[in-house]
Amino acid sequence: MPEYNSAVLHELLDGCLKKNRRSQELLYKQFYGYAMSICLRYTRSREEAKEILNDGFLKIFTKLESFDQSRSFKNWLGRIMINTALDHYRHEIRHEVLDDVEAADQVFVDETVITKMAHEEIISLIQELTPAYRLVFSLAVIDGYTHEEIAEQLNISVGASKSNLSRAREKLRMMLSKINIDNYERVSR
Amino acid sequence: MKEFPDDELDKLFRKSAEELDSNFDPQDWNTLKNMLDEKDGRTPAAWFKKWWPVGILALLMLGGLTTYFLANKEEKNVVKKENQYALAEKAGNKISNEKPANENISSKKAESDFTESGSNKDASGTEEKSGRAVSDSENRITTNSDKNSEIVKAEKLKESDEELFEIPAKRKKNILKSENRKTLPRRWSKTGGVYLAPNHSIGRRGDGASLSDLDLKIEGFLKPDFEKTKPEKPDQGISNLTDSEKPKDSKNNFPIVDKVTEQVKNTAVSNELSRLNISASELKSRSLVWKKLNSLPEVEVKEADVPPISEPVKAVSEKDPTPKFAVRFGYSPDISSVGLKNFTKPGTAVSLLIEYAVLPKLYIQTGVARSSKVYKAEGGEYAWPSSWNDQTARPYSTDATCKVIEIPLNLRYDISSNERSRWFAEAGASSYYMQNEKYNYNYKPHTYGVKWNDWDGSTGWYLLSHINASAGYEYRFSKKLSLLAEPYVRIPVKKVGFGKVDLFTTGIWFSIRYTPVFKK
Repeated sequence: MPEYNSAVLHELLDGCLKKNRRSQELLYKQFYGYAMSICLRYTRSREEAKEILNDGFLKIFTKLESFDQSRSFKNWLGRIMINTALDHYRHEIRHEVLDDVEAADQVFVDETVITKMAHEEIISLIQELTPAYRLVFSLAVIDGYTHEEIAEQLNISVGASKSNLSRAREKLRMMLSKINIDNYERVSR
Repeated sequence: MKEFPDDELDKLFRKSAEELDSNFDPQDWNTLKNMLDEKDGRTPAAWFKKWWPVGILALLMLGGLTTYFLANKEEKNVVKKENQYALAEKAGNKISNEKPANENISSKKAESDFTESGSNKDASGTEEKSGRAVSDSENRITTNSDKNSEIVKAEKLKESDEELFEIPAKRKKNILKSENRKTLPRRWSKTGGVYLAPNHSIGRRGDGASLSDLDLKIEGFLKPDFEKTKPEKPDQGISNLTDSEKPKDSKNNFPIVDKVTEQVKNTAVSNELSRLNISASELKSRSLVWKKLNSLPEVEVKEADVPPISEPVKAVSEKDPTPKFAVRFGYSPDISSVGLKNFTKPGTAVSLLIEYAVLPKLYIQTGVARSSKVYKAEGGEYAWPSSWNDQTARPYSTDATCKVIEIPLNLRYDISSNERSRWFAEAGASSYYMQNEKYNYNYKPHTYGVKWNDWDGSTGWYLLSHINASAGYEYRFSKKLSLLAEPYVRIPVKKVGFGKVDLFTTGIWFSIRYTPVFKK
């Protein structure tokens, strides 16, 4: 990743403040991958991720004057993407009942198989989680939110946040185990 | 195979999330670009969405002005025609009333002769007739001079007529010149006035009058009349006669003016002519002082003056009853704020109001207005809902976009008015129905514990929440339609909305007002 708080970035941001489409396009291209990686792990599909990504960039371009340029633009952008994803979750899936995870047996995973998996495949496992588990897992494990913060963001209790995280991990282990078994069966044939 | 501990699992997914770098898809940028264009109003649809009320208003104003100018033009034509008829009738009546008293012995003949000499074309023929008559016998000269005097009188009446109507207005002058000029003298020719000046008025027109010696014999009594009716450029008219059109074999080949003055000074007047002179002098006091309007009893200028011209117009306008009902459709930019500061871009408002006149100048007004109120509230101005107190972080500002239905109840008073326009003032109260409220909460960067980034919903009715005050100008461009411009304010007396804000609104209504006519 390049150093974002550079002179080039400031120039781009100035252009974006003037609603210059070329500057906006360049900024969009530069942070597209980073923003998309965030959106993917908060959504069920790539299409949904694109929707959130563009909503997030629209917020960025329309509220850029509130950005403190002495701080990290990348962090600010990441936070906006997460908040947009959370907004999306609140609006679209707020009434969805949290499904429980079946009590899993002890799961064993072959690390050699996992290391061969592409990053996209691993992230796609997160996408297969239910929204509540996906958000708690992403917020807690990848974006470093505390359970208190997660509880506030998702309007749930801290205990529910911890529980959801635990169940999300169990679910992911099961998925990885399933991948192991499938690979083993494929190799053994 | 081994058990996969939590930290290992977390590490795996964290690493994948950090290293995942999706490829740029240009289609995604195009989608965002369209969204930005729409947001900035750069697309035709967005532009139309933003400016359609202004466009409709502009079209209405254009249509109104066109209607006004067309209607005004037709009205002027009608008034002009009415005036012409009124004037012609008035003058005709007056003269015909006077006619029996002033009718003279040769009126019929003079009329027929005048008819012939009424145009320039016929004038020369009359003149020729006159010339022959003079050379034949003195009696016939008298007869012809009667004819000529009739012609002269008629011409003078024309002149006096013109002078008369030059005074009121140009328009009247045009009317008279175009139509009455032809009709009035013909009637007036019957009113008497027999022994008048010879046909030098024809000479004035350059038709080539010439006089015989016998003509000159009667010039003595004509001199005062001639002097009074001296043309503005006598020499020119006469020179035309003498230089270009006099018959070569005529013995009267000298200028009329010279002849006249010579005859007045030197020629001995015969008894017959003396008699004629006397009678002409007698008539002179009645009919030859054309410049004085009242000296023509048969004309009675005063009565033929201005009133008939303007009366029909006033009569029409004054008879219009003051309508009781009116309907207004209006558009206004809606400039809203909390605490008279932080004004943002204006929203829009449309209204449909009904007015009823409880007194001639006092209307009661109600209806419905729908507005989009865009405003910004600072942290302290937006009351944070108590049910959200589990979030400790507070926004430093709130961006709001609210769709509001407003029911006003106002009194309107016409301060001053005339036929076309009026100034008015309004006051009253409004009830707000918060139809849709959208709030975006702005937090400072790196604020943690943010749970609520936005809210949308409806909080319903706020009865008599605002006081209204406005003043405006109304321009009426037809009997039923008028345009209004009306700056207004909505002063809060109650807090409204989800954030309980004191919402102040101002703007200017551009309205079209329709006054229906109910047939009895």
